[in-house]
Amino acid sequence: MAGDLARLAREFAAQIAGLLNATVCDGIRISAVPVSPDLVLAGYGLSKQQLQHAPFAVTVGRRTPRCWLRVGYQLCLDGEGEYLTVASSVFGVYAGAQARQPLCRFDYERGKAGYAEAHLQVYGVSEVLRAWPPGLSGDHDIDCGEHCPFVHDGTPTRELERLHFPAGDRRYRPILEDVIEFLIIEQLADRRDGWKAAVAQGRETFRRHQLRAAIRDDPETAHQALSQLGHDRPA
Amino acid sequence: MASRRQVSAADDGVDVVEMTADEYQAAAQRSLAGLGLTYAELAWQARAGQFASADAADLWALIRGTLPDGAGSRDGR
Repeated sequence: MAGDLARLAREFAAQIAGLLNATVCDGIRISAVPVSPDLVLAGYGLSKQQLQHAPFAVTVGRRTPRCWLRVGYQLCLDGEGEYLTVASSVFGVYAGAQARQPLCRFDYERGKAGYAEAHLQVYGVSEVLRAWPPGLSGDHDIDCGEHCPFVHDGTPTRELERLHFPAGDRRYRPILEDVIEFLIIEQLADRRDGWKAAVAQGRETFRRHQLRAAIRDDPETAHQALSQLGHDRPA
Repeated sequence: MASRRQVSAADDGVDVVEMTADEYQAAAQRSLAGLGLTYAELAWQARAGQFASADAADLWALIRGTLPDGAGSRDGR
């Protein structure tokens, strides 16, 4: 890989591997695949043979895993070509024989049209959805363009996994640290000693990066907030 | 499921997989074929917000925008 994207993407992939191996895994390696000068894929199990990122067992030592994770990212540089940007990410939680049964997925797609950039999908059966009355929500049609691919027949989906629960946007969205914490707290995965510190460190780094980006997005509001705290506007 | 191996102290845990453009396209097409989908079909599922499977959604998160829209269409275009 050449250029800043290559270096930054590798550093990011190393942080992901380090985070996993410091919290809920052993010896997980992350592949980085330069697709073009502008795009790098990162994830577990990517190879020249296939790009479907494989699920890896979430377990420490030789304990029998209770769940598996899929982790994948599209990485690029921001519009100024300066900062690493996650264009999309996916964290899928799987269980069952051969890790074929999805429990949930945390997806992020920058610039996603139609629903929240960051969203959660849960796999299962919802009796509420099955009983949901039809024919009440067709007027969403008026908000959409001519080529909208969504079906607006007034009947909500009966399938829980078809719902995209909003989970934030590019600045405030679930990250891998949140998923790891979720797995541990909900007793879906064993954890390593010191996992909390690793999660806290990664989360702090992410939040500082996002705060800097939010300030670049809206410096006037940032100036106002700093002024309220007694900081003078720079000359 | 892939195997696991220990990471040495000097190792950052990252494997860089260099590919030519042709190798990338072939890998992407193999992954699509494994799901029984073309890229155009997967792109349509993404636009509709209705992936045929979790595997399809996972693959889209990685390869979206990296192939021509008509790549792998069933009519050979």
